[in-house]
Order: sequence, then C-alpha cells, then structure tokens
Amino acid sequence: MGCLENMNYEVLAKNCSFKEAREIIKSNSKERYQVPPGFKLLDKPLIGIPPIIIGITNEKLVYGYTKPCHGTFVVVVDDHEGVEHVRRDGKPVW
Amino acid sequence: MGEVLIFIGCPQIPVQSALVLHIADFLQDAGHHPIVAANPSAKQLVKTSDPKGHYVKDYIDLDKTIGDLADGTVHYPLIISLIHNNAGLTYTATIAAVSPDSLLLSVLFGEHAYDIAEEVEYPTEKVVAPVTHNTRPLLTKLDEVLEWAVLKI
Repeated sequence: MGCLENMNYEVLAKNCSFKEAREIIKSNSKERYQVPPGFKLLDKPLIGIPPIIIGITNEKLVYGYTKPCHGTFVVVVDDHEGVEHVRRDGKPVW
Repeated sequence: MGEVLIFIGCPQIPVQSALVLHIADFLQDAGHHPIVAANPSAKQLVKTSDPKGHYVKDYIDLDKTIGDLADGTVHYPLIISLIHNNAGLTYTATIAAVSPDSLLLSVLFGEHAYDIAEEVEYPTEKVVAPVTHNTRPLLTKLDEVLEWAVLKI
C-alpha cells in the first residue's frame, strides 16, 4: 500500500465530472466492478457518486480520483494489491 | 450539544472562508461545536481569518473524514457542505452515501451555483446563490435553514 504518487500510473482524463469519468472508465476496461463510496484504494477512500465503477485492464486498475480543486481524474494504476482487493470485494458488473 | 461538520472544498471562491466563520458562529451560539473538514489550503485561509480559534477550534482532513464516516468511526447529526464546483458536488454526494443518517445541508455558491444545484441527486436541503464576493444574497436563506436545521438535531 502507498500513495498514488509513488505508484506507476497514467492519467487517461482530467478535470472531468464524475459522470464523464464513469463513462471513460467503462470504455477503457472490459472487466468492471461496482464498489461503495469510501471503498479504500492505496489507503484512501474513493470519492464518488454511486454507482462507483472500477475497471481492470491489463491487470491494472482504472478508476476516478477526485481532488477538491482539480475535479476528477481517470487514472490507470499498476496496483496489484488493489486489483486483488477489487476482485475480492467489488461487485462484478457488465 | 453535539459536533457539527462544516465540509469545504477548494478555496478558490472568496466567500467560502467568510461563510465558514459565519456558520461556525451561528453553531456556537446555538450551543454546537463546529468542526471544519478541509484541504490544507482551505484550512489555512480559515485559520488566517480566525487565528485565535474564536470560531473554529478543530479541523480535520477531507479524505480522512470520508474514510471515518464510511467506517462508521464518526457520526455527525448535521453536516453542512459548501460547494462551488463539480468536485465539491462529488465529495458531498459521497458524504450523503456514507452518512445517510446525517441531516445534510448543501450550500451552493459561485458563478455556476444554479447549474451545479441542478445536478444534485442526493437527499439534502439546498441553499443556492451564484455569489463569489458578496455573501449577502446567500445569508438570509442560509440563516433560515440553519435555524431550522439545529432544531432538527
């Protein structure tokens, strides 16, 4: 576990609304899970309007990361523990 | 009397810090203890305006607040969220989801206040005015709602 800044990640989109982020996540992942607000990744609770979708592509997580002054980013994060956590505790959706 | 959470976002709009102090003053007069959840820059602006902590004594981190509410380790009967952008709306919708038993007030301000208010889909009482520098158009409705809210908790 650690901070996003310490992980290998890329930004797919930035400064978008949460609804836009959800569509970007869906279109960039075939494996998708629904999780509740407050679901923790890298020790931080996820911020989002339910349903919160997390995607998995190439064994990496695709999800929305919201910052108060910069809106929502869609990030692809190489987080093996997070992938296991999402597969174990998320609800699969299609 | 209980703790009341004032949840604030990006401090880009000038009225935000003034609203925090106004709400905190109201809550203290009503016998409640205001706690401000903020990011570091928003906290610093409020602290600069209230250096001796006459209005706000306690601050907590935004994301820690969400985590604690989601874990159920804290509960606030009343949460007042100040919103002026899409991120603020997203944070507040998260609060509504993780703390469904709280009475939630959404105070929407800034240039796009009405547009953002139309996107609110969670259960809340809204106070809306597109103000950036002048708090006056917001205060009458805000005070009315605060008086009602503290009677409900």
